[in-house]
Amino acid sequence: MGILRLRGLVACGALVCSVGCVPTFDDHLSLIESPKVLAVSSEPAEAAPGDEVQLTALVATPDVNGAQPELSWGLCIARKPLTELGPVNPVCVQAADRAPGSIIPLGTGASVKATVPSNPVDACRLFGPSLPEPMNGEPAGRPVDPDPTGGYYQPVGVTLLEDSVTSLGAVRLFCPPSGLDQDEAGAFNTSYKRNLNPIIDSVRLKDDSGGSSAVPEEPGTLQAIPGQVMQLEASWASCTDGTPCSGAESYVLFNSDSRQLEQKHESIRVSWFATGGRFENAVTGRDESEFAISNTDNTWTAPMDAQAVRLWLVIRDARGGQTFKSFVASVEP
Amino acid sequence: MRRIALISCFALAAVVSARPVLAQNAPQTGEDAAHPRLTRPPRLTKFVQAEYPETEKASGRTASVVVQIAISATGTVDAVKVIESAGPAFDQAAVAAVQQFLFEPAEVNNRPSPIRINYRYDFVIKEEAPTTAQFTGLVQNHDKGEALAGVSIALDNGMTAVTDQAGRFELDGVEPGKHRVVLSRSDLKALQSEENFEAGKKLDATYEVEFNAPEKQAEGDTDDLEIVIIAPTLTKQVVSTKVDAEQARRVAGTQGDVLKIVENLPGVARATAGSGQVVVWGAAPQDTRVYVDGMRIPLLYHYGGFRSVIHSDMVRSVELIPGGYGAQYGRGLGGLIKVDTRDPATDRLHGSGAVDLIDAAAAATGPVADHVSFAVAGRRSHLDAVLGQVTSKDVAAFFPIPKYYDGQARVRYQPAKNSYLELGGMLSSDNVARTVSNSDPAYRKQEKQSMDFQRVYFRYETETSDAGKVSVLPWLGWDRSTLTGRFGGTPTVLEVDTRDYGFRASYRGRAAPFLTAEVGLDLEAASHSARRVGSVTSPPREGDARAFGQPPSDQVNVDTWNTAEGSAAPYVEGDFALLDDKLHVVPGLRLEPQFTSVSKRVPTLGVFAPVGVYTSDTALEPRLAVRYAMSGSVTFKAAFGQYRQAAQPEDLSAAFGNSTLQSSRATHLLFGGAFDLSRSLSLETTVFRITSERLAVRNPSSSPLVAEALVNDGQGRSYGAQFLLRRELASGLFGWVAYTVLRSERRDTPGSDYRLFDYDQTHVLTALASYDLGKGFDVGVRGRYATGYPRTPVVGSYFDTRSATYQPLLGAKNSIRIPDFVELDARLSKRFKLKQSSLELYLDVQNVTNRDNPEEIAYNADYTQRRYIQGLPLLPVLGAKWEF
Repeated sequence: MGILRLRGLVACGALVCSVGCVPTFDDHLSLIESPKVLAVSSEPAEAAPGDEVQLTALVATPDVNGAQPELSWGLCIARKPLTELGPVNPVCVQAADRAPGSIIPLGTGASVKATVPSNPVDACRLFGPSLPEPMNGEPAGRPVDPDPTGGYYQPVGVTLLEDSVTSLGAVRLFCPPSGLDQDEAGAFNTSYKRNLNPIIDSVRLKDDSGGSSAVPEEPGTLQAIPGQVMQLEASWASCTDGTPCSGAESYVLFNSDSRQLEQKHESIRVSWFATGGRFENAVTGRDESEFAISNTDNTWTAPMDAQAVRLWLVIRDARGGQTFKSFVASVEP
Repeated sequence: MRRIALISCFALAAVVSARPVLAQNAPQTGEDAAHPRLTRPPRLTKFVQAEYPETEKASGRTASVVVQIAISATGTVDAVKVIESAGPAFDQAAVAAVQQFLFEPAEVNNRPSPIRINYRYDFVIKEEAPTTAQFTGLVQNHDKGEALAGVSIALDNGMTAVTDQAGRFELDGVEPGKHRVVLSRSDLKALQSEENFEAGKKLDATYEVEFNAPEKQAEGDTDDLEIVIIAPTLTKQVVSTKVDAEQARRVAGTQGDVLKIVENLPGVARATAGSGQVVVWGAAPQDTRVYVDGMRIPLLYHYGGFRSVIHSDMVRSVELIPGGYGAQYGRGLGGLIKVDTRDPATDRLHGSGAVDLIDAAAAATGPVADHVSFAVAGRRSHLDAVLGQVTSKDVAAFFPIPKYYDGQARVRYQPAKNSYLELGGMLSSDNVARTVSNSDPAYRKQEKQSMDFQRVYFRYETETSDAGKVSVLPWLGWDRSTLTGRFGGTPTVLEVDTRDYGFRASYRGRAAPFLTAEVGLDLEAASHSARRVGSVTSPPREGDARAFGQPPSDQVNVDTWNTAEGSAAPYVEGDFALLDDKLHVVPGLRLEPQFTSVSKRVPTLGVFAPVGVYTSDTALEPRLAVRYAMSGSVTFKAAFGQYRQAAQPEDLSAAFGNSTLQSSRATHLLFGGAFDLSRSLSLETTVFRITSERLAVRNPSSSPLVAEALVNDGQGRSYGAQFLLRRELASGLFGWVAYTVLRSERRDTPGSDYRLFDYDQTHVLTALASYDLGKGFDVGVRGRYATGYPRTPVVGSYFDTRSATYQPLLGAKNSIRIPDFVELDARLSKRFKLKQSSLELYLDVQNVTNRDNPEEIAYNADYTQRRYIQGLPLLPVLGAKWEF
C-alpha cells in the first residue's frame, strides 16, 4: 500500500473526503520494458517557416545494446479544433495512411531532415499567431493561442514501425509577432532570442559526505551493486540574462494583458529512464522561480540481480527544446 | 396509538316470549288471538351507546349483559329486565342505554304488537388506530388579549365551530392533512390560516384577531352576511414537490439542513459527492434557478455540498418545480427551487445554537418593538480546523476542505395583520484552496476557488380590501466568483464580479368569481466585470471529450471584459376555475425584452481601442397549466411552457467565448396525475419532455472565426417520467419513495447524432422515512440508488515528447458510465425538554454500510489502467442543537 493510499484512507476516515478517495497506481514510467520514443530533438530548436531542421528521436529499448527500431516520420498539418483538449489534432498521432492530407511524410530513420512548412501551407498560419487563410469567402479565422512562454509549435509525428505506436514531437516556430503595434513589435524582435536546446553538462554520483564524482561516459560504466541506492545529479549550464545558452535561458515575452515585454526564465525538467532498477521520480526539475539553480537530483535503486542497465536522461526546457544523454551501469555483486 | 373504549352491541336473539303480550290498541280477530303468529320481528332503529363504566374500564374488564326488552306496539321500550348480570355497574349502564332504544314494532299476524326480546349488550375495550385529529383553540383580541365569543371557525372541509364565552372552540374528527382555517365575526377582520393536522393528535391553537375599523361599524355595517376577505391563491404548479422545514430537517443524510432535502426530491439527479450541484430533469446545474422569497441567489449549497447557504431556522419550506412553471418566473431553462422563509417571531424571543463536526450556527428571532420584529442567523464552517488537528498537511493537498460562512438578517414592520414591510439581507462566502507539490515542475498544482455573494432587499406585501394581494420586492446583489490555479506552467484564472439589480412586483386578485389573476413585473439587470487567463479548454465545459485528471492544454490566452444585461418582463397569469372548481385552466404570458452589452466584440489587437457589441431581442413566452380533479382523490394535470436563458457572462469573452451569443431556449411539456390513495398516502406521476436549442457549445471547426470559440449550435432533449409515493406526517411517520427515469441528450451541431448529456442519470430512486418514536426520539433512514454519470472512454494514449506526458485518445463521447450508486443513510435524534428550552442531539450516519461508491474514473499516467475514485465512506456526523 503506497503512502498516498494510506493517506487517502486516513483522510476518508477522518471525514476529509469532500471529493472522495483517490486511487493510486503503481506506475513505473521510468522503466523501459518495450521500445519507446522518449524524446524528439530538433536542431535548431526554434525555426521559422522554410527553415530546415534536423529531427532526432531518442528511442529506448530494454536491450542495453540492442538495435534501434525503425521509425517513420511525418509533419502534421491538421489544425486542432477548439473541442480538442489535447496538444494536437488526434489524426496526427494516427498512422499516416489513416490521415491522408493531414501529414507530410518525412521518411524513416533515427534522424531525418524536415523543412518547416511555408508554402502552400504556412506553419505560422496553421499553428502560430498569423491569421489563418480565409476559407469559403469568410473572414480570416482565429489564430492559435501561444503557450505560456509565447511559443507556437509545429507538430511532428514519429511512429515506431514495429508496433505502429506514434509519439508526438514538436518544433518551436519562430513566427512574426501578431497583435503588436510597430513599436512593440520592434522591441520584441530586438530582444527576443531564438531558443537553444538545453544540454546536460554532466551527470554526477553523489556520496554521503556531500562530494560527488562524474558518471563515466561510454564506453565506461557506472559500477553498482544489486539494490544499491544511488543519488544522481544532472546539471546544465548556468545562463546569464539575454544570452543564448544551453541551460535555463532568459527570454522576452509580450504580455498581451499588460501589453508589456516581460523578462522570463525557462524552467528545466529532466526525465529519467532505465532498463532496470527504479528511480524515485520519473521527472525532476526546476521551475521558473528556481532558474538560478542549474541541477536536479534523483535517486536510483539498482536492480537486485546482476545485469547491465542503460540509463537515459532527457532534458527539456520550457520553450520546447530537448536533448538527451545516456550511460550504462554495471550492476554486479 | 390511543387506547379507547368502544362499546359494541348486537342482539343476541330476538325471541318472542312464550306468550306475546296482547296489544292494547289493536283489535284482534278471534282466530288471530287464538293463533298469534310473528309476521315481522322488531327492528332496532335507534341505538344508544352505553357509557363504559369508568371503574371497569380502568381495570380493563369486559363483560356482556343480557336483558329482556319489552317493546310496545309503537316501538318504544316499555321495560328492561336484566336476565344475565355482569355486575351492577355494567347492568346499570346497559339498562340505561337500552331504555333509550327505538324500534320498528314487531308485527303479529301482520299487526303492530308489543313484544319482548332478549338482547345481549357486549362491553368491549378495543384498540383502534386514530384516524382523525382534534382541533381546539382560543380566539382573543389582538390588542387587549381578551377572549372573544361567537367567532365562527370554519375549515375548508365544511366543519365549523363557534367560540364560547371563554373564547374557546373545539372540533373533533378533523381529517388529517392541511386545512385552511377561516375565522370570522361580523365586527372582526377576517383571518385565515393554514394548519396541519395529524391523526390521533390534538392541535391547540391561539388566534389573535382585530376588530374592524370603528368608522366601518359606525356606517352600520350590521349585515348578517359575513364577508370573508381572503386573498385568493393561484392553482399550484402542475408538478412541484414542497417540503416543510420541520420534516426536511429530520431526514437522514441532511445533517439537519432543511435545504439539503432538495437532493431527495423526484426529478433531481444525485450530485457527485462534493459537487453540491443540483441537476433537475437532465438540465445543466446553472439552468436551475434558486429563489428565496422571490429573490434570486446564485447557488443553493456551499462548496462540497455539506450545507446550504441559508440557516435552517430561517426556512419555512422548500419547493422544487422541475419544469412547466408559470409566468411569474423565467430566465432559466431548467427547474425552479423556491425557498420560503419563516416570518420573524412576534410573541417572544426565540433562538438556537447548533454545532456539529462540520460547522457551528446560531439564530435568533423575536419582537423588538410594537409591530416590529427581527430575525438573524449565521453559520461558519470549522471542518478545516477540526481536520487540521487530526491529519497531516499533505492531506489537504489531495482533499481540499472547503471553508464557508453565511448569514441572514431581516427586520419586519407589521402595522396590521395583512400587510408588512421588511428590510433584509443575506451573505455567503466559500473558498477552497490546495497546493500539490511534485518533483516534476509540470505537475505542481495550485488551485484556489471562491464564491461570495450578498443580497439586500426591501419587501412590502399587503392584502387589499378587495381581496387582492400586492407584493413589491426591490433587491440588490453582489456576486464574486474566482478561480485561480496553475498546473505546471499553465495558469488558469477566471474572475467574475457581478452587480445584480432586481425588482419584482405583483398584484393578485379575483377578477371574476371563476377567475383569479395575477399581473406583475419581473425585472433583473446585472453588470459583470470578468477576467480570464489560461486555456480555452480550461475549465472544461459540458460535452468536452476528456479524461479525468487530464492536464489542461498549455495554449493560453487572456481577456478582460465587461458585460451588462437586463430584462424587464411583465407577465400575466389567470386561473380559471371551471366545472364547479374541478377544472383549473391557468394560461400565462410573459413578455421578455432583453438586452446584452459586451465591451469587446473581438479581442483587442494592437493599440486599437476595443469595440463593444450590443444585442437585444424580445420574446413572448407562453405558459399553460391545466388541472382537472376528476374526483376528490384523482387529479390529472398538464403543462406547457417556453423558457429562455441569457448567455453566461463568462461565455461572452471575445477570446474564450463569443460576445454575440444569443440566449438559449427551451420548451417544457408535461402531464401526469395525482392520486390520493388514503388520507395520508398519495401518488403523483409526471411524464415530461423538454427540448432546448441555441445552447452555447464549443466551435467544432478546426479554423473557427475570431471571437467564435463558442457558438449557439447546441441542442438538447430530456424525456422521462417521475413518480412520488408520499406519506404525509401521520402518527409520527412520514416519508416518500421518489423514482425518476429519464434520458437527457445533447448534440453539439445540428444534424449530428444525439449523445448522452454529461449529467444524464437513467434511474434515480430515493426512499426515505422518519418516525417519531416518542419520548423525544426520532429515527430516520434514507436509501438511494442512481445510475452512474456517463463518461468518455479512453481507448489509447500517445506520448507527447514536448511535455513528457501521455495524452489520452478518446472513444465515443459519453459512451460508458461510472458504476451505479447505492447508499443507505440513517439518523437518530433525541430531544430533551429543558426548563424553558430544548436540546436536540443527533447522529447522522451517511453510507451506513460503508459501501464503495465510484464517483469518478481515474487513470494512471499512461492511461493503461483505470480505477475509480470512491465516494464518501461511512460518515458519522454528531451534532447538537439548543433551542429556546
